[in-house]
Amino acid sequence: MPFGYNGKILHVNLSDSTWEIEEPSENWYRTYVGGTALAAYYLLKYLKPSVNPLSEENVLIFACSVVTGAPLSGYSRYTVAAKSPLTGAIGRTEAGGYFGPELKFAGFDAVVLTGRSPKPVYLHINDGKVEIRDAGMLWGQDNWKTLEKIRDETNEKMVRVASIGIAGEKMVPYACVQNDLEHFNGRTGMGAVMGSKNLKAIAVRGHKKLQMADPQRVKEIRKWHNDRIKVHPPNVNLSKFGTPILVKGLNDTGILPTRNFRDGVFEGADSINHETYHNTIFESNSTCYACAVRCKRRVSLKDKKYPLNKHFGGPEYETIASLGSMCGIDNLPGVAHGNQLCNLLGLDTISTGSVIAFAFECFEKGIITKNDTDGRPLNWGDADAMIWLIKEIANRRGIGEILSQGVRKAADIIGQGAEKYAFHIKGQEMPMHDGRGKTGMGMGFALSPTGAEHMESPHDVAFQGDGVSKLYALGIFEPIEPLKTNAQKVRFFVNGQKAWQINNCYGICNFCSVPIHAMTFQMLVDSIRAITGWDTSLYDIMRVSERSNVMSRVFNNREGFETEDDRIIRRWHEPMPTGPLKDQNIDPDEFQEALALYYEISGWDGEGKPTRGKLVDLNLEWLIDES
Amino acid sequence: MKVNVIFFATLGKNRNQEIGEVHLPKGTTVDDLLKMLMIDTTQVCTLSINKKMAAFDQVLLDGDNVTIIPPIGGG
Repeated sequence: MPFGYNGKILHVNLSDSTWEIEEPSENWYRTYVGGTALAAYYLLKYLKPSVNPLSEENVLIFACSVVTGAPLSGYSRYTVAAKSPLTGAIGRTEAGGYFGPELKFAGFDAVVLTGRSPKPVYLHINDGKVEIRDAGMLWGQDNWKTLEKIRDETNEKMVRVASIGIAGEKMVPYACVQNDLEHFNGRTGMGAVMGSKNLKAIAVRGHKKLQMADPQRVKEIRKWHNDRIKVHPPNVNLSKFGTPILVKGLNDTGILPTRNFRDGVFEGADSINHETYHNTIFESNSTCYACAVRCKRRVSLKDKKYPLNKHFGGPEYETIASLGSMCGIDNLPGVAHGNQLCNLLGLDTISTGSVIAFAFECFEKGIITKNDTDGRPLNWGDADAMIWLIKEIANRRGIGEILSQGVRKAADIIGQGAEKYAFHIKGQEMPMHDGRGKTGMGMGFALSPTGAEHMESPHDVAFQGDGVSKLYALGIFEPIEPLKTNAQKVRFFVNGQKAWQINNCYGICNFCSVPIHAMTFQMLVDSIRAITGWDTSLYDIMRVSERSNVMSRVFNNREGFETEDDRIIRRWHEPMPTGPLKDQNIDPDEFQEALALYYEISGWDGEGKPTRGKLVDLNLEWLIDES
Repeated sequence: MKVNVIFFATLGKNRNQEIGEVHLPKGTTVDDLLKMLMIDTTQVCTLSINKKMAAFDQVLLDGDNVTIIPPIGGG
């Protein structure tokens, strides 16, 4: 009997409403474990190169891991993956909440969806029973109504629902998937892929108890971990204030993305920071399955213009910056209302804010005019304009139709030099971090297979001075210099990336896990051993994360991506104009050297392709002809 | 007793704000030290004492090396 996992993968063909259950071997589970690794396996196996991401040929995967649902803080995340309609590269995005564990309790480790339903449907999984239900009455509904109606129809208040909003139905390429209104698979447009398949939602309910190899040891680790969460400073602060706490630190250090990455200091930062948040809109903490950190926020506000409803998750740091400082907006209720709208309509707030900042800068430069916006000005700091654009984008109306395609395509359509202000990597808009203040994170943006992505590796700033002691288990002993781009930085990034990706493969939240938060590498390995009963090690689980990264790279190479796509944005090569980091930039030559060194260390050739030897080393011989 | 404190307050030119040697009474905790230095606990992400991760209520000892880094990462 497997421990920690069900040994069952559900395959659903939406074209003919059929399904079957695959039961892979234990060795297969040990090789691909879950999350991004498991998803990459199925995408490489089932997806032909060059297919239209919004065609029925795309494959959509919801993947838990062999440890998802274990009663440990943070072991709740799951991956949604497909070929991305935003980038044309591998698309994948993680979320927490309760959906992932519930899918495990319902009897499956992952769901692989192929084809396209001829009419809107939702997938209902209830204790191993699979049903494809009509979603005609849900189509056109926002995420809140969708959740309520599915709860009514299934007569089950505890059913967990991953759904899309109107933006997903209309296939906005940065539409997101969300579960239970406050947890988001935000990035790479997985909501659009669901919409293209006429799949409105997946609803799951399960009562199966997760079987673990050594439940007593898991219990001991849970107590140790949760006790540590109570005193470990980053977790203490996350519990008290959540991710909004980053606004002040990043602004004080001069790297808060402001006005489309033009500045690193926002004069209105105090109006959108954690103190203002908690004094004005904070309602209560919220959390994910079995998690003691409780970093999620709920917000409420009785306001005629910007009302806030506690049923939606409050804005996280990324959203506060993308809809706030990036757009020059210091109106926190306005930012939170924009967040609420994105949640209702099903838009990724990072891409949405970046697209709006792009539009604001184009308006400032006279590239977009009132003739393009029904007479409406798009000025920095205008919260009403930001909210109007969110609605236009989700409904693909007017200027919103152009902006709904993401900054890369929108700039192509608009022309007149708009591409100078369209900041993206591989087609995906930028998360809210400035590489000029942390060059290792800049490497992560450039090398992430999904395009610009802040979840690719730990950010270098946390390992300055004696902070590097958190990396001793990886054999990194020299303090990290955030502003340098040198061989030491590449060594840090290569190892940091593998360590960080453990969390994406095993579905563990970074806010509970290594290397920054209240988990140690030793206890992480112990937990996987206790849950699965496997004789595993840090070496083994880091190879899983490297395997995931290499499979994603092969997928992108197969789609025609080249080393030229591993880049950062123009503005990061230019000097920061103001603030504590004034005149700081990333030297283009040093950055190219760093990338070349990364390929070499990783066993990739000069064209950025994993070598035959690397594929054999990682048990990926089956991809030799694909690379 | 004396402890050495490094506070990475900013990434700019004066990046290592080496507060340096601080004289403290016995029994002083990290929390007390932060109050004395007027560093808000919300602006502490990495906190290490002698290259080991520490908690706010940890009692400091003579000769301790304290490193403080604010929340400027992400995730």
